[in-house]
Amino acid sequence: MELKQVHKLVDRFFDGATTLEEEKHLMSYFSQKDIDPILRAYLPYFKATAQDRKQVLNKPLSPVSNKRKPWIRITAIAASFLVGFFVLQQLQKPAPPTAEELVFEEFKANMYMVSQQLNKGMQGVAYMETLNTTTNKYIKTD
Amino acid sequence: MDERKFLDRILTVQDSMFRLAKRLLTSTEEAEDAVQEVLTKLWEKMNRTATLTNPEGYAMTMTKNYCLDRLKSKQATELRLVHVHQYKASPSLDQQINHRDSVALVYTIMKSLPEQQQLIVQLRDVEQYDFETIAAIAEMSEGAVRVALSRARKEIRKQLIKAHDYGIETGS
Repeated sequence: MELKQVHKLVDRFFDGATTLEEEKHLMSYFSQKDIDPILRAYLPYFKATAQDRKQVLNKPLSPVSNKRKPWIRITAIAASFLVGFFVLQQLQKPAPPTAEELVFEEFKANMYMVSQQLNKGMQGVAYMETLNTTTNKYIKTD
Repeated sequence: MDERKFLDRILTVQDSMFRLAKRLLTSTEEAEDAVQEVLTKLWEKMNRTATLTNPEGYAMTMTKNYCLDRLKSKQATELRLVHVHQYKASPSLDQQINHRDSVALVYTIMKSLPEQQQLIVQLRDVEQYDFETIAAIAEMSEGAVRVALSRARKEIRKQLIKAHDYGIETGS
């Protein structure tokens, strides 16, 4: 290709007016060694795009979603169960007794003790009753 | 369509998908994830609707949409990255001189273009698709594609000349 033509082509290229065919000509021009000094400013661009074109994907692909997703779902379910379990436990646990309740419990215990002692005393009184009836057999009062 | 056939068919575009994703997302890992993600979606879609006339073009469009979505959500959450991006929009003299490798300079210039232009340049100058194909993938009219390409290339030219005039060695 003549140099004048190349210059024209470069101008048209950067105006976005070239065809794919012409662009391929330009690319082959810029891939050779002998480049016009004025055009050297544009060399990086053609080098960069050519370099880019060689990049390939180096990772095996599978149409079935990456294994990350089901795991995320499973852990999410497990985590919500755990949280639910702990919350339930917290709810079922009785609240710590208040001061009034403590006093009441103590009073109940004391009253229980008193009633026990009272029962013991009543039993003694029951003996007294028996003594009364037996003595009455022998001692005639009338 | 069974898995094997599907993968064989997609083999012809998977590298193009990867390159496009990498151009837009920059990182190789993210690009790989993008291709995998798009592939899964495409596979599901093809199982549902058996009649998909150009799966290759469709795969490219899906890749484009996926990447643009990713970029959008990234910009929404990582404001710092947006800042870096904007900083790159006009590379300073220092930055340009630091680009000892002139190819890296081209990548910086490309990254500074609007996403739509990056996409068009990628499809035209790297993948060498015709305007009809590009218009279909980009979901734009052919006229709009031509305008975007022209704008992008003019900007690239401007930046290249600027860098060249600063005396950067572009020969080797």
